[in-house]
Amino acid sequence: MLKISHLTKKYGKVVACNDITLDVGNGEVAVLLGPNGAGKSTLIKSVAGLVRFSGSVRIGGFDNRSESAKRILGYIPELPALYPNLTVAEHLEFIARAYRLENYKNRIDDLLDAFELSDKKKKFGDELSKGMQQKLNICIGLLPDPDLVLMDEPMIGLDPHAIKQLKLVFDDMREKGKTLIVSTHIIDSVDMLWDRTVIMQSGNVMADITRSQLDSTGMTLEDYFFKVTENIDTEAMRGSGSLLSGTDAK
Amino acid sequence: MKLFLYYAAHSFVNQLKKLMKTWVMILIIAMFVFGIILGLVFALLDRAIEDIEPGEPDPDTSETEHDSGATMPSFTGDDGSVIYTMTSNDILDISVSAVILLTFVLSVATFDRGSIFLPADTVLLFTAPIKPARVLAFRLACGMGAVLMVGVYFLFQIPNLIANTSFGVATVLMMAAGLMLAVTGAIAVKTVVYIVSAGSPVRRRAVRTVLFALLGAAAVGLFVYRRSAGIDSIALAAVKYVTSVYSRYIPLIGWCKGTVLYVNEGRPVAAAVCGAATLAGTAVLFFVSSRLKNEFYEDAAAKAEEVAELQRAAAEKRSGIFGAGKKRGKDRADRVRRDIMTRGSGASVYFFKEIFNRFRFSFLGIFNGSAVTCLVLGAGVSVILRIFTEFRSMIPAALVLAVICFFRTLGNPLRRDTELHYFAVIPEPGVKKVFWSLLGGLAGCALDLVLPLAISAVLMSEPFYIPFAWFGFIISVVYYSSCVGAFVGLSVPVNAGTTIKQTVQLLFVYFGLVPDILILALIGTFVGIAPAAAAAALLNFAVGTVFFALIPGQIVK
Repeated sequence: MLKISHLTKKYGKVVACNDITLDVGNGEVAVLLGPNGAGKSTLIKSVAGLVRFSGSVRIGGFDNRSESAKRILGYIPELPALYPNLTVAEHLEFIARAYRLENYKNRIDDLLDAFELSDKKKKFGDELSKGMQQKLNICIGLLPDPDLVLMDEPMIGLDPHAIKQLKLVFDDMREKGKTLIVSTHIIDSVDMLWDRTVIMQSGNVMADITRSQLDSTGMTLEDYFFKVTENIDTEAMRGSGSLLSGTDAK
Repeated sequence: MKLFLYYAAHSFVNQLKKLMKTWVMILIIAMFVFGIILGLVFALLDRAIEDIEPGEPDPDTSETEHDSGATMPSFTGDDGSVIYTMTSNDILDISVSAVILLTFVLSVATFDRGSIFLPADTVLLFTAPIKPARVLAFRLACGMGAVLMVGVYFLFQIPNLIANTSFGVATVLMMAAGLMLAVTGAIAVKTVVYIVSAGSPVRRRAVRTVLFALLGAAAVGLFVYRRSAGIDSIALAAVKYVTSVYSRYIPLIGWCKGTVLYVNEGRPVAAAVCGAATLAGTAVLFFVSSRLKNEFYEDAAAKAEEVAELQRAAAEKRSGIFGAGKKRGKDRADRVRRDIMTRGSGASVYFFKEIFNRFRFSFLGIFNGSAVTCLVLGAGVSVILRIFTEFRSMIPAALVLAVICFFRTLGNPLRRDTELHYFAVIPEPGVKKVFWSLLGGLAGCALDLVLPLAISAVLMSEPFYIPFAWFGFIISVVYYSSCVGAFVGLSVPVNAGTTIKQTVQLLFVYFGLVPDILILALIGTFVGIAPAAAAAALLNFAVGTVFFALIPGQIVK
């Protein structure tokens, strides 16, 4: 579904993504993990066609900048992006019309029900709280029923019910054979959801591991993450004491 | 002071570094190169002409004419006789007064809790062991750059105001010093005003009332002066009122003015007294501000958070200052329709969104703020001309409307659409999205223009095709300006600063519209105003389309 070849993105002299090559298959739920500044958001934005880069990105066999690729792509940014002068219902109507969708009314109702926005249909974008704005953002990203969905830190600002609902959406998408790429730096938020994890650091892919591969090592995702990013064996640390023992000694 | 200089120097250098990485640098270099070439060419031409006509005195620079004041503006009575001819001193006085007043008014009039503080101030400066008044003065000083630029611009205009009159070196130096005194004094006044008005809407209103009262007092003073001096002409009374020697007794503003004018009049002691008084007055104000109870931190921190939110929004290429990243303080009225976005398909949704919102938020679907402004000013000009003069042409109204519409397009008119990620991810060609978005803005502008142009045409008894010609011309100006604004807004990095972006845009727009003025003047004089407006419109559409073609390539960063 997604094929990234030698993607490099520089902001001036800073290399945000360095020669990244990655394949994500149909129906996979892939998680991009990494500390702040690892390049996760830049990679997501590059795939979404929001930033220029060198290398190539193909979505469903199409160049990511092509209309064909955009038609099967959904993007949910980290921060909600809404029009202040359109209502909740009008945002969804706007996107449905922009994507030239057909028979979308029921899907709009379903999404609004799922994310508890049905009673906010007539609220303007800037009359919503941040959490509600993020929920609407998710509804908008999912409305065209895309084959590949990119989510950049989607759970930030959501209430527990919305997080639960979002996880159900993940399951539903997996069942339907849709591909999902979720970027996050909060490991707990995605545990149990993923088929594959890509760990990034300083613009590089440090590890690319499937769930079965991780299970065979006997490590948790958190242990594996710290081992990769900091070369810290957290199991051993747990045995010997606190991670901060060195600091405490001072 | 150390803090201010360090911050100002580093900010300036960093801004330049950012600009170096964009095409703006190429533009600046090109301007310098062309400027040098043009300067050399004109200098050579001048020399060549002098060589051809040696020894011929230049009448403009002749001392005789100069001294006689033949080139100076004068006031005439009802019988046409000259009753007063302005001197170079009068013009200098008026210019200096204007610069100083502008400096004070621009700074003090914006004393409201605007976005003075940056987000970083909350954690870096508010918590530092610096007196709050000093933090405020530092931040205000940083914000005086625009005032300084305006002041310098006016200073450079002084030689133009007094044709062929040169000031002494001391006067010129004192002008610069006077401007610095005015800026410092204005910062001191603004600091006191800000502290006094912070945290209390009642005090804020009171301060505003006092400021308006001072302006009112100045106006009443002019009226009384005119009556008591028995001057018929309001303009002449205003000149004498402003240049009166007693105006130099007004605290700060007058003292500052006196510093410059006394030097020009060859009275260094008086100038020194005025300068010392200005400095002392400024020092007293800073002392007072440091003793006042400072209650603005909480207010300023809240505002700084809003600014941080907006900056993050801009950096994320999503909603800008009108975006939905921030929740409204209060919901809109229930009567506003909330279910009318029911048209459009593909990229055209951008056009219908604009149109629906226009009808949704306007009185009777037409009268929003800009429509009312166009109607009042555009049609108002024609009404005044009709009632009070014999002049019958809708040119003044059309030019007023063109200026209003032009200023509406400053910045990036497509910003609301292009800053949201939908613009990039919606599966439609970029050029179509830009086209429909632009068309939405133009349609809104067209709705604003129809009524005032129609009223003006009727009042001025113009032929039916004249308002159509002006309509096309103004829309073409908006189209050109919008295309340039969108191109500059998208291609110059977000963090390059709004002022820099707008300066670059103004540069393009002003130079781009110069041919319009030539076309209107030449074709308008020799052929007719309708063909002139049509020709200018065609040119604007053609040049605008060049920029339009560049916009889609700038959507992706």
